[in-house]
Amino acid sequence: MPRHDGRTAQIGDTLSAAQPRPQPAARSLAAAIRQPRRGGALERAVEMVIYGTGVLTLVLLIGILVLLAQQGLRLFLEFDYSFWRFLTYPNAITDNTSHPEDFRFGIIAPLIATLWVTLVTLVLAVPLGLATAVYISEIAPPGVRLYIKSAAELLAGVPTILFGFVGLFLLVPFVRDQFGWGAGGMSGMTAGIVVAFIAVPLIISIADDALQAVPVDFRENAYALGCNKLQAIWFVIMPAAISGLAAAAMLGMARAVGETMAVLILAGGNSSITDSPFDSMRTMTATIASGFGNASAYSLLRPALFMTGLVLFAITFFTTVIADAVLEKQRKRFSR
Amino acid sequence: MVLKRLPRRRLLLLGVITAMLSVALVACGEDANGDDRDDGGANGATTATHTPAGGGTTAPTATSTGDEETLSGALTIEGSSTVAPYTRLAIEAFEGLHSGVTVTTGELGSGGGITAFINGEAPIAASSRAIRDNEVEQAAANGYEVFETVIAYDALAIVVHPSNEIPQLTFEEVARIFAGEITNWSEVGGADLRITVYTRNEESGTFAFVEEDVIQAALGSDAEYAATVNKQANAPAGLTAVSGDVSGIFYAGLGNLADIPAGAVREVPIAADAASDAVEASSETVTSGAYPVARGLFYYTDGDPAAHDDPLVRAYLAFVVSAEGQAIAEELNLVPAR
Repeated sequence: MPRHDGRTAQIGDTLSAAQPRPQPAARSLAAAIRQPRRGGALERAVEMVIYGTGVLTLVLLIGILVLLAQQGLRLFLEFDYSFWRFLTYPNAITDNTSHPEDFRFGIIAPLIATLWVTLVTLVLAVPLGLATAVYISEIAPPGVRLYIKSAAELLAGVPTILFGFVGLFLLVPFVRDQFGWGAGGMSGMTAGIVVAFIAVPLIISIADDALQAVPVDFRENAYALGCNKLQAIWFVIMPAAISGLAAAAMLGMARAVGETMAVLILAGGNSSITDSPFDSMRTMTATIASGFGNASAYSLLRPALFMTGLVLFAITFFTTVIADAVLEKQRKRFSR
Repeated sequence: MVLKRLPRRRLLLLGVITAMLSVALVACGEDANGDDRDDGGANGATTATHTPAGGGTTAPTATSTGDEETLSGALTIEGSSTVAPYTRLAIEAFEGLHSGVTVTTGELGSGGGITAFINGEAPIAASSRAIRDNEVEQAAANGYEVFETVIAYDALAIVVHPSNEIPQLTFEEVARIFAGEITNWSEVGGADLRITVYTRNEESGTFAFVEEDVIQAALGSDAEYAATVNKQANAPAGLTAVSGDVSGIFYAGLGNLADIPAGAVREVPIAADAASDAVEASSETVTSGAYPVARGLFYYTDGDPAAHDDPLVRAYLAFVVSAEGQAIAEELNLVPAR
């Protein structure tokens, strides 16, 4: 038994003293190690299953991409819908039609709507989420930290339709009467505010983990050098956790891009191009959700919605990949 | 360090999976819906030995019910949320007549119902607009010959905020408001206030009816909705929006108006043209032709329902056009078709 320091030696000694004959135990351990392993088949089977689930994730990812592309590209290959028109038509009307000349659908308006809602979400949710994470990680006493962290995790699990509902009956009348945004209070801004509250718990959770991952000697050194708490947080801890914090923000963004129900209810439903977040609008997810019932097998709408899905997939995919990359960078920097 | 890293990575993984699943759900949604709706059509033809009821569309209730006591199985009706209140009451009565029958109905909207019909997912599509030539072609490509059964006629009320005191609108003014040619209430005798137009969304038959039979009927076949109309997922959402928006205008069937508190919105009397008197929507004004914004409510089936392969489709459509089925329409303030 290796003994590195006095404390371990002491415990080891006590154990030896308590057990009159430690040798048989060691021998049986050695024997157990030397013994041929049983249950190998089961172990291999379990390994195969776990391996399979891992591969399934990849298959699913590629499968979605292939399905979206295969179904979506039919819009141009089979239905002869102009690619230029798909990019630039200033409205996205989800009519069921099999005639390309009757089809008035462009990705630009829903794309801009999604970008507006995402922008509003990021501007609100990132400072709020990061500030809360810094508070619970660095400042709050352990009791408070526990409550806030648990509350954030609970909030992260609340179905988003409930956020949409609360937004519709609390926020919409308020912004309508106070600011007159969009259509009767329903606008990209309104939706963005509510989606920010959906994204904040996620950002808190990930950013808190990132801050907790900063080695304790960073803090101790900062204080030893005479930093006060704010200086230690601002100049040492946050820079050290920066890529984790960035990843938190990016996952918050992916959440905003993908949010459907709350946005469908709150953004107002204007399917044309908007030039300010205070307008009524319809995002890509809301366009897909409200158009799918019309998408018959012969309709141009079906491939058009798949193309919309493809663009949505590309945005969330690259956001997540970038978030993953920066996270990995941070992990390498602090691994010892 | 190692321990602390784990949750962060796990959360990231969760995030990745969530993002992928959200896209996957979108991609698979269509198939899942298809599966849901399929069982109706598949189980429908269980009593193949049943003798066809001669002249199902005109047969009075007594003979058709007496004839078809052996009916059993499931039937799916998909489509308009405007027709849905009628369908629900009719189903209740129909299932009361045939204890072995289960009828399910969806409210995807008229477009959704017709699409489900075209795709073979529902044998009966309910619609609050006439089927388009384009959709008839799509159905024909799948081997379905579209047959239209008029259930009843329905008035479409034009509603505004209760504080909006505009006395009346003409049919053409309604068209021009929804087309975006009139953008301020002062242009039609109201306050100096920008008009906020709320509509249903594209899956709705009411949305298409207003574009085709109001906007295009009044302003020519090139006219369309204003690009900036605010599309609401369903009638209650639009009514809620207008009840809170002093500048709003929206349209809804009388059945939908009955579902909200009295006084939440104000119905505007409509005149057929500048020379006519403005009247409110009701079954009387629709019957007399004085109220101009009225449309048919339809069921679409594959071929004449009296000769349909599925005895449940035959029996249900026969029930709808029977005196009893038409009485249900009257109960709902619709104008019976017969």
